[in-house]
Amino acid sequence: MTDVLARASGVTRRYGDVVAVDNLTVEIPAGQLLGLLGPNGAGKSTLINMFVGLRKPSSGTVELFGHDPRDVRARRRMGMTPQETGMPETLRAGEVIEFVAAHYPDPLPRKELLAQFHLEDVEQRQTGGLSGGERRRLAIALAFVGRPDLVFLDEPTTGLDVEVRRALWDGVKAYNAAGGTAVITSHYLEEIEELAERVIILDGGRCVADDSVAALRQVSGLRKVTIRTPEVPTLPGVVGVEQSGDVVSLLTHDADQLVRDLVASGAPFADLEVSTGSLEDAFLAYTTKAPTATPASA
Amino acid sequence: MNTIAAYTKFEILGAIRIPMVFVALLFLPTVGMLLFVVPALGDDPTAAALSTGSMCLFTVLIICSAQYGLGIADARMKPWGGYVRTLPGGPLPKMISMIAMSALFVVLGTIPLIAIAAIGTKATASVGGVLLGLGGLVLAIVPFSLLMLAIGYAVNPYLVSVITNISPIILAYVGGLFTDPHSTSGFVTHVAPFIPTRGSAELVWAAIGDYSPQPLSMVMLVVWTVVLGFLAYRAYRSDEGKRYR
Repeated sequence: MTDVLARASGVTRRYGDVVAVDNLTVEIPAGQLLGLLGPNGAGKSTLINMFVGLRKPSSGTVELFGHDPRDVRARRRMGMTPQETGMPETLRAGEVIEFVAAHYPDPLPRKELLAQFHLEDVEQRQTGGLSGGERRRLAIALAFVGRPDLVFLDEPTTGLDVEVRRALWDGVKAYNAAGGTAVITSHYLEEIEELAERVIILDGGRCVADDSVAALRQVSGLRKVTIRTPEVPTLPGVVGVEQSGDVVSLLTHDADQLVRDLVASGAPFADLEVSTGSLEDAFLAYTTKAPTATPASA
Repeated sequence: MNTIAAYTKFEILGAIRIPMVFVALLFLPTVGMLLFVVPALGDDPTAAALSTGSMCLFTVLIICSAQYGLGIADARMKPWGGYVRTLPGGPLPKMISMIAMSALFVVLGTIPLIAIAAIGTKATASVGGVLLGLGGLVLAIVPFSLLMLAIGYAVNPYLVSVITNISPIILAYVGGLFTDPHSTSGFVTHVAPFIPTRGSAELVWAAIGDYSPQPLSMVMLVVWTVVLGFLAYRAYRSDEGKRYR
């Protein structure tokens, strides 16, 4: 059995009358890249805040490395990204790194960290004067300062351009390959799809799905039939249409039947391609109540 | 040790890059010295010395309210403050570094006041008395910072700025810092021993001049320190940053 680094058991968190997290049980095993998905207000941040000791559960228990997360001992092997807004503006990037490093017994050497996150040029600049991308990279670097075994990355690449995002993904993958465990929330499904092995979809504070990325793609039950055609054909069994230029994607529960109907309709088309639905489809299937997107099983 | 040094450096860097803060902190006590102590008590060596001590203690109150009350409220409002709470440091390094900073601020902050007293009044005090008085001022950081910590952690951060602006003046007034230490009548004299500022003030007065502390004030000082320490600890434990309803 693999080590469980962190565990939430029957956790509920209320803010006044609002239930942000509702009787949730989650285990984070060592070495896993866990994606946390959910619409705004689903309880992702609240869950993470309970894991890192910022908030107490209203009921249930949260454990981090076998301790209460509010206990200092629990947090020595954990790293987290601060929100890049509100960093101490008058301090230089290097000074902020030094401050965070002082909390850990064996921090990464500063030069190594700076190089890893392409921050060498900003070491001497005050954080208030950094660009959004630089500040974001600094924030992510801070999660890795103490050589953590578990990192919580809350929206790590929001607002970054594609290239920097790719570079950070590679960094997370390398960290994971070396045995690191990460919990990632993101607005970009693409990011979760790229990085995570396991995905938890939260909605209304509850866990509505908890499975591998591959299994979640399957379970949405949707197939995507993509063709090149001048006109969107009208066919039975189509539950969604995406169109860009003359490339049309038809979402359906039964790709075989749709292709038969497509051929029988005599509509002109080329470049037929059938793929399993994306994680995005699964996500929508789980978090919307649209009749066409009911999950096949729960 | 490493962590404490890091916090202290962090606090100092944060403070020295906004120097106007110091002007704001010293404004009220300096005005108090120039408008009240110098013209009214300047010719009485003992009264001038004791009043200078009162103004110095007033400065300590203001420094503590800014550093702990406002500082903590500010940290609670900013995401950075929340982030620091996730680091494996615990409250101790931050508190120790903040107290070290306060001691430094107090010594630096009282220099202008002592200079005004030396130049503008006939106040007399021995060198040993002044040093002992500084010791009393540094000691006063303990109850004042605990009080402001309790406020900073427990009260809605938006309200904290109001409370920390007003409370030093009120506490200084009812604690008898603006009246004659030897006065035996009036409302303030009867209330003062029960106010958390009074005990510290009497220690400072005793250090620099002819004054013997009242037992009641001393007992209340200990009581207040214990109570405020408990309140500050409880407020720290139950704080979860900014709260919305």
